[in-house]
Amino acid sequence: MAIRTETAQPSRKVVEQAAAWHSQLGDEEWNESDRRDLDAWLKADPAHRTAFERMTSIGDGIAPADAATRTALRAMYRAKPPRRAMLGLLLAAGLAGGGWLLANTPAIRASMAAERTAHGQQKSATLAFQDRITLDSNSALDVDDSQRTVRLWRGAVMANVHHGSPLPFVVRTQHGTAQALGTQFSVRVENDTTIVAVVASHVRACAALARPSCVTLGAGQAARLDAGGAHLLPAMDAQAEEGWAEGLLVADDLPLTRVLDQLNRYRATPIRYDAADLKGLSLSGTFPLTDSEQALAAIGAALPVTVSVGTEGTVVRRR
Amino acid sequence: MVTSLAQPSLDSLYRAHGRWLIDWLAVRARCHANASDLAQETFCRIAEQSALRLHSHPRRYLATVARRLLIDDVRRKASERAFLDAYTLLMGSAEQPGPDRVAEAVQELCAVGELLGQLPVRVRSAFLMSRLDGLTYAQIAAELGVSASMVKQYIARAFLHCYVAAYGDPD
Repeated sequence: MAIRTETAQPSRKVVEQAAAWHSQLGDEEWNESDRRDLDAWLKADPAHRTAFERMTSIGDGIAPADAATRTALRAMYRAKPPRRAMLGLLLAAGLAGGGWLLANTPAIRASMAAERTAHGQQKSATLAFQDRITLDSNSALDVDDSQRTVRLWRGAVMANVHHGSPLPFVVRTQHGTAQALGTQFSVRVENDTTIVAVVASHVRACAALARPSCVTLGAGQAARLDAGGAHLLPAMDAQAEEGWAEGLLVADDLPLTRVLDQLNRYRATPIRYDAADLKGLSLSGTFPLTDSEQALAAIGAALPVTVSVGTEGTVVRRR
Repeated sequence: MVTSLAQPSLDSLYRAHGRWLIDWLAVRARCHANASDLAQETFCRIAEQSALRLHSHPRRYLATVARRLLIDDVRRKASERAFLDAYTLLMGSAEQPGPDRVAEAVQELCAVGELLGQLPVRVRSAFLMSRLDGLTYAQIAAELGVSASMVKQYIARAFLHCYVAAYGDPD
């Protein structure tokens, strides 16, 4: 006796319809008439039922029964828990949970970050995947070796990415991500934006806020990530990010105000200036970032400005 | 038994490229012991396959298999860490889960990761918020800053993606 049972193999169209039914089923507007339509669709063809039931079991498989596994799943795939569940966690975890919640603002995370630098200090480290990072003055970050990810909370990081690893190297900030497609790049958190600048090879920079978008940057290019998305910046901005990891400011016809801004990152008390007064002045050359006195002497010699040190700190004025 | 002469034996393969593979993995894995384990696993994987595709570029093929194992390994470790963190968060640090419990959770997390890992983060988040947290589409829409009809499309897309991941692309 030969009875051939044919398993109905759903076609692409049927699978798409089944997916649409499942998404419909989760809608709070689902009603009795939808239920009848679904029943009719399921009865119309055995392949319909096959596809639908396979998806039902997939949907069930997504939600593990165990609470700790569910919590782990949320943490790994970044789906925010609803507020009610968060409260539950908080109660269960007591103080530790409260700390974790509070810790979700960048400023507080920065103060708790594993790697930090003071004003004027730089620090380098080699990570698990042989990637080399340099932390700029007044910066804070956490490293997740298992994900090959750096979370930058404050300041800037220069990455020299090691070749040949299967996992991509990623720097994440509150505004988005920069993923290495090649070797060397810098990421800086500044006010409400993140600046990504590429020294060598390529980086994919993605804004993660209200308007998610990505740009791929080549050597010498820079992008700004903010609430408006990812924007390509003028070459000048890439240049400004290039040498800091070597402790150098490499300027090629860079406005003086920008040079002073960069020197200020390394000083506990900033050099003061009036932007309108210094407008139109620019300079080229290589300046030591961490020795701003030497840089100021060079600037005073090269440009028509005076550098005075008084009770109000160091001030640069046009001569 | 007939052995095809065109296929290199596993033994000769190991002698020719075993050391190379361990070195290749050592640069990429987090510790050397792990590299040896992964190299061994790579050869096991290859032994399980009926047709060896190793004629012209054995090392390239070994590296392809090893790379997949390396990613699995990283994923397993990340899953394990996430589970232990979650367990401590829920049960307090005095409680320790048994090894079976950890293994089960890691397997479950990896399986879900396999299904959802490739999805765009919004689609994945919408799917998890719906299935895991039981949020309504309106609530998910508010969380993600998109319309409820977009959430519905995300959910359909996630189901379709998971189906293809589990059962292959339908014709």
